[in-house]
Amino acid sequence: MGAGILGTGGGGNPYIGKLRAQEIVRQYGNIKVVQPNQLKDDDLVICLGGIGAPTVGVEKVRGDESARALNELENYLGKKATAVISGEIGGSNSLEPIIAAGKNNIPMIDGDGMGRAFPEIHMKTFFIYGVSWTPAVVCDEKGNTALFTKALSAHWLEKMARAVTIQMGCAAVFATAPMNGNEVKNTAIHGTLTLAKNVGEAVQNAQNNKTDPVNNILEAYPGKLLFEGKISDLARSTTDGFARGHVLIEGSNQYKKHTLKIEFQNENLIAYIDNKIVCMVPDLICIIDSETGDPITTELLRYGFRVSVLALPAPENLCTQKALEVVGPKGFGYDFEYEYLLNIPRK
Amino acid sequence: MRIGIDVGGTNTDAVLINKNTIIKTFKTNTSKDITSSVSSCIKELIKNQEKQNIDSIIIGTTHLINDLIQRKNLAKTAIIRLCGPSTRLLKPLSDWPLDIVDKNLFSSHFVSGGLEFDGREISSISKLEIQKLCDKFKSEKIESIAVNGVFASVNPYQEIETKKIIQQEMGNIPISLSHQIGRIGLLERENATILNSMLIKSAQSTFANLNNIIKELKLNSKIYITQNDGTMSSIEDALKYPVFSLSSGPTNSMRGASYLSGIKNGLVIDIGGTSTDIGMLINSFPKESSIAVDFSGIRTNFRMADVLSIPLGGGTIINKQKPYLNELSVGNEITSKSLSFGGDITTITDIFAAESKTSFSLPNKNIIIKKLLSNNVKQEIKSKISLAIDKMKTSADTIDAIVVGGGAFIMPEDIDGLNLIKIAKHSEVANAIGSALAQVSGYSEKVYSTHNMTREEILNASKHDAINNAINKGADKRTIEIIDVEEIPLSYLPSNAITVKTKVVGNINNN
Repeated sequence: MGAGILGTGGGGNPYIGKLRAQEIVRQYGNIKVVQPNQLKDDDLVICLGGIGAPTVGVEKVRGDESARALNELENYLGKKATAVISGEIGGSNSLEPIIAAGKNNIPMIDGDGMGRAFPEIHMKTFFIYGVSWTPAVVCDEKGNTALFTKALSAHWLEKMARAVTIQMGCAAVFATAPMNGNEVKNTAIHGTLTLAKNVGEAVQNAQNNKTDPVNNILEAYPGKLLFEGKISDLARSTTDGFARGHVLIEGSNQYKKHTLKIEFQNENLIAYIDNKIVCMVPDLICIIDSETGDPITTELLRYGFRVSVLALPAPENLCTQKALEVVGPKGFGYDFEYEYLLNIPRK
Repeated sequence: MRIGIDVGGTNTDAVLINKNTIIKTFKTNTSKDITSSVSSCIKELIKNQEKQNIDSIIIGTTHLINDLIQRKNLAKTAIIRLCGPSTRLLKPLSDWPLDIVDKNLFSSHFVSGGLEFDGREISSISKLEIQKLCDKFKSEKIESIAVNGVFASVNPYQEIETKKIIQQEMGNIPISLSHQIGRIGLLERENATILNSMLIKSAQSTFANLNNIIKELKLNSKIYITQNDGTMSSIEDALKYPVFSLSSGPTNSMRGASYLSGIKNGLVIDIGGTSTDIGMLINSFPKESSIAVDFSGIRTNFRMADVLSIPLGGGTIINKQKPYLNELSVGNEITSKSLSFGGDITTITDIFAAESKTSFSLPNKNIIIKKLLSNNVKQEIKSKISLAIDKMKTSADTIDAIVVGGGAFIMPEDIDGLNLIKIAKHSEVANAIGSALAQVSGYSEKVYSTHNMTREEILNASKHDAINNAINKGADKRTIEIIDVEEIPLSYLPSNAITVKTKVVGNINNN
């Protein structure tokens, strides 16, 4: 559930991710989690995640493809991975490495490459801070594998992998960024598996004790309540392998007579209240069920839902000049610069 | 004039309504086959009425959900997922309650088939493979079949073809196709489709004989069954799609309570013989649950009222020591087993009858209950109901609460944060009134080309189409509202086509 909230609308359906992880744990036993600082220089860590449109992932539910993706990359490298790491902590992608970790009996790292969810491969901190994106493989559930040995940039890899993914049916898995222990320590966002767990527990506590989930979440991850209201319009299409569109929320309580608009590309990117920008990527824009605190992902958005919208400041290493070129508004085709609008201290 | 009937586990309540005025009400015990209690209600209500004035008889029942909860009367069901190599990690029945999965009720299979998001085939279906499965189903004595294809909502042809093949092999066996039951979301749609298949038998025994009543009583009225979302369907549809009528009780009781009290926003506490249901009213309509809806632990994605149900009612059995409230109720056997009716089981009703606090008179008037037991029972009732109310309230503020149902007399009066609204008359038939007020739905599902229409024009066209459909089915135009819009881009067609599904509901037109 915490991963669902950090998913900012994308990253796939956390419920399905949970069921898949439970099934793997049932078949192969518990999975060990290690901290990035415990890694040694000669460790080989491989990054795993789903690739495709989340609207497809709830229908063409993934299987154990990520274990095959890991094995294919190991075969090419001629070396066995000693641990796996999530490319993004948001949504079911956070649990994708569990599938491979379970089947191969290796640990998973407490950390990831995004601290949230982003739609594209080159937006991982590994690549922003210098890790090589190739070799990489994309596998589908039918048994197809594509191996990428060279790409001019992570963005090129993204474009090629995306083209392959569309042909594979828009719900595939991806293994990339073979790293040694040092590279993981220096480029990953640390502790995010634990953070997701804490946010999830905060929501569960609110549900059990009938307290306000918003307050609990903001205690686990300091941020700000942006808006409350009812979904009044929804435009969504699957183009170029992404779920793109916008959602309009009609305000209620102290937000009455105001409208919040969120534009998304798999993940929520920009939030406007009455056409004025109030939060922008890479800061996290999270839509939750007003009452239960359950995250509502892009593919679950529906007319009439009563929702609260939270804004959470992005981790520091997504906000450096270098990172903002990739994961700031300009990285998503907007023509304005990133501005931090949350008037609260960044942790 | 309309007749609304609510068939509960214990009582069957009925009401005759002319336009918006209650003409007459009637209450009887629920018979083993619901037909005879429904029939006696109708007979009683139409006395002194012109038969041709009764336009419609609208029936809501808890029989299906009770069968599901008690795991009885369920059809032995085969599940065929058309998926090829995809989606196989999570088998059908993933995350279902183990007691039902272990019942040896199911036969699940992955077969060739399934579509990609853009309509391409993952693989084509294999006639031979399905024929072989049918042989297996025959030897397993399968009674009902659920077919779920990956992305069947984008194009249902594989499910339809599979049905034809099964029918050639197995004749008239009931077959539920997922694209007719649910929306995108493989597991939730599959769950709903399996539920539908399982409930076919229960629906048959509940609904099939109702049409005979009309013939027998020589009425011209049409019979309808209320659905989960507060709308109604024909008996033919209720037999084919029982899952849509699985749980209409909560919506009916809440709408009935709103009608009787005039309260538009607040809590509704419906205390029956077996259970107490608590829900929130927002603008006279039940608050809907926003994400997944659990039916007895089974996850689906239906639109329906968010209601908390606890096992507490007039028929709840009293234990000799703490906890004094048993989880079980004597149900419809209250008239033979409880003390008040001369039986030997102490129920909550008997505790209140001893103090003459029931809302009706009882045959055995000389019950003696120790004061201490009575106080302890009342204390437990209060804490049980308070706990449930806290779960449903959206804020700590004091809100209006309407108490309805045959067991309303057990409601404690001193619960914090509630402004109890008493209903002077007819509270015991709130569910039946809700049935009589069931809404008419309108639906539109069409493919539009985005070539020569803007998105707004397309949505408007779909909206008008759905509204017209509702008006044709008897809805009052002024009350129609849109409740669901779903756009599915069909990227496999060259002309940028999208399917738009719009659903609207409105009140029955009284003129």
